[in-house]
Amino acid sequence: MKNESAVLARRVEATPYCIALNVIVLDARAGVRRNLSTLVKAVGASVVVAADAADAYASAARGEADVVLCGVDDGGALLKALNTERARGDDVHPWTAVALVPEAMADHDVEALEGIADDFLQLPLNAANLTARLRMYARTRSHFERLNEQQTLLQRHEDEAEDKRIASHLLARLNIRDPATERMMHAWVSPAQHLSGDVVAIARAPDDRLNLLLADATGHGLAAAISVLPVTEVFHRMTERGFDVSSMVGEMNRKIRSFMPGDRFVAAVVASIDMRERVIEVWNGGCPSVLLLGADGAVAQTWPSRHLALGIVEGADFDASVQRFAYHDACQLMMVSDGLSEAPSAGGRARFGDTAMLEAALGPSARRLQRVVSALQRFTGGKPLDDDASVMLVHCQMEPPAAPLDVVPVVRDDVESAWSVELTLGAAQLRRLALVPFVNGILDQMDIAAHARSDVFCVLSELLGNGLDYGVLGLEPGLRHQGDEGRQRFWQQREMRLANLSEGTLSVRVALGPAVAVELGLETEPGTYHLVIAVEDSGSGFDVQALGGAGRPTPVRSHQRAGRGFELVRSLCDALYFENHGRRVIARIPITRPG
Amino acid sequence: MQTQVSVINERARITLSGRFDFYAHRQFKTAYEGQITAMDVSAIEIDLRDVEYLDSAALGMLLLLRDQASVAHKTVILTNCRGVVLQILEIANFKKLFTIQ
Repeated sequence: MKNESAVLARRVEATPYCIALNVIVLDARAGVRRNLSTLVKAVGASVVVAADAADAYASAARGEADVVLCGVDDGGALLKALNTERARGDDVHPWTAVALVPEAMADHDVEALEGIADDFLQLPLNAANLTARLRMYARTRSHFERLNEQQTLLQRHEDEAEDKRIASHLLARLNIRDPATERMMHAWVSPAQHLSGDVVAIARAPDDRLNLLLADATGHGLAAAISVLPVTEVFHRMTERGFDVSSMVGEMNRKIRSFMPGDRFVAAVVASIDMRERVIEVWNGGCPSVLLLGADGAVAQTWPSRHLALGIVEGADFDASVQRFAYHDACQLMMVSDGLSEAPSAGGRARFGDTAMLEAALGPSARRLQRVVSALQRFTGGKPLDDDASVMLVHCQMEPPAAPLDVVPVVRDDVESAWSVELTLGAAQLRRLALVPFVNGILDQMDIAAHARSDVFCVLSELLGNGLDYGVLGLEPGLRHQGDEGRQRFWQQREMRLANLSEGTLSVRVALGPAVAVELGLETEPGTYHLVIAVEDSGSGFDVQALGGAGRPTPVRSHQRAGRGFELVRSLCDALYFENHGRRVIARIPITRPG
Repeated sequence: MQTQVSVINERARITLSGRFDFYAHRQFKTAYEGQITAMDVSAIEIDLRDVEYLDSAALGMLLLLRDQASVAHKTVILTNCRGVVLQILEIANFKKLFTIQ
């Protein structure tokens, strides 16, 4: 502890000063301190006095002083002590130690102080000399400060650039899963800042449906880009597992609602194109109308926003219902975010608007994206947009794009023995059955090589779907093929009957191995493997005899249940049989082993 | 954005004018906060007659107001919605959440 008199740093003066510099006067003698501080104050700097080197150092190290004027009449003892403190400390604030050299001091004594003092001033001090010197220190200090600021700014820029680089990289990776499928969409995303709160995504479901997402999170920049992540994550994960649009938006809504603050939400379009059935499903929550543009270049269908954006309401208040449309010719689906329709003109008064956007989109599908984007850029005069904007176009073809997988199923090497799984679903399970994930669950139990999986998936889901729709639910197979009205009635009836289902069963048996065919009474060649799928429903069956087959097993050549899906099943199987008045269907898929 | 508040017959009318966007956050909150706690107010009306534009941040602010008002058992009514403002509220389907007049 220091005694009272040794404690330094008593502020002498608080008058306005014109040299932006803080000075400590360090001397053991009170009279000298007083005289010096009066002088320093007179030339316009701020001053405190100190009698103790440690206190002066502590004050300077805290950034409270830029210059320490130190008397050396004591042979430099105070200055040396100050220097010792400084050598021990690790202060970052630069300050200058100035030795005040008396006229009478011998040259060799002054030389002894070199390396200890940063600068020397000859006593007696004259005001002009002191002022010039203090101004020089002030300039040095301000240069240093500016340099420091620039350094900090540069560092911050570098940090930000690095953050942005990592974030964009991460976001881009999280969103691109399958480059082959990605190539099927034409999209333009214009972020208002470095990162976009608008995201477009496309993914192919196991049953070849093409799922599309356009999401627009509140705001823009990093916060918006992060808020959209749960949406894309759910989109990809649930598409992979084959969930439908309603299930996906329900899950997205739950995620956003639980992760985001109350005033943040995500406007989105989630759509699905089934090119086998030629049906488009759209859920539009808070985005501008989705357009379907026909082969003639005109609007074939629009899907206005029917729902609140994701993350606003929860539970039963959230409406996950979709609007369906059946198409008959190749066409193109167009989705945009409001950043496009609400983009301001160069003058800032007008908005790009739906009409201008539509005008640019009408006409041939070739270069449609370019037409829309150039029309927007002409309208805004090339001015950067103040909100994220995006456009996404996807062709709806008449057949699903060729699967990028091998055609011949191949069993993995390690499959040696035969095995089978069998499951029976009752009414309660059927009411909440998500068919595609269910089938995938079965396939997960099988040791089938990944590239053979899509064929087995296709057969299994088609047979189960038929068993449920035409068997258990007793829907009229022909209805689905009686134009748009028929389809509409089919879907309504299906939803109603499924919701009210109180009895009925659907059983499935999947078996693999050399002995399976024999067990089922089918002819088999030695060394061949078969995958056999048997599906049985509790429905009323149908007249198999009328199809031209007889006895058991009944080979099917053509039958009234045939849809495009069923034709595909037949092409994948080497045998397809009906039993039990059509309630039980058995499909056999040849499996070759590698080598 | 400018705000103006008046209370008539238990109905607090907050009249907004200009751009209702991200930057209006504090003003909007200041305007409605007192009305949430006011004993003599049962309904809060947001008059959008003179609003030129509202963005998604403004929609978010309306959602926050709705949350707080419902806790205080007060209704929120959006009035004089026209042109681009009405269009934005329609696309957002806010008619499912608010009385829009």
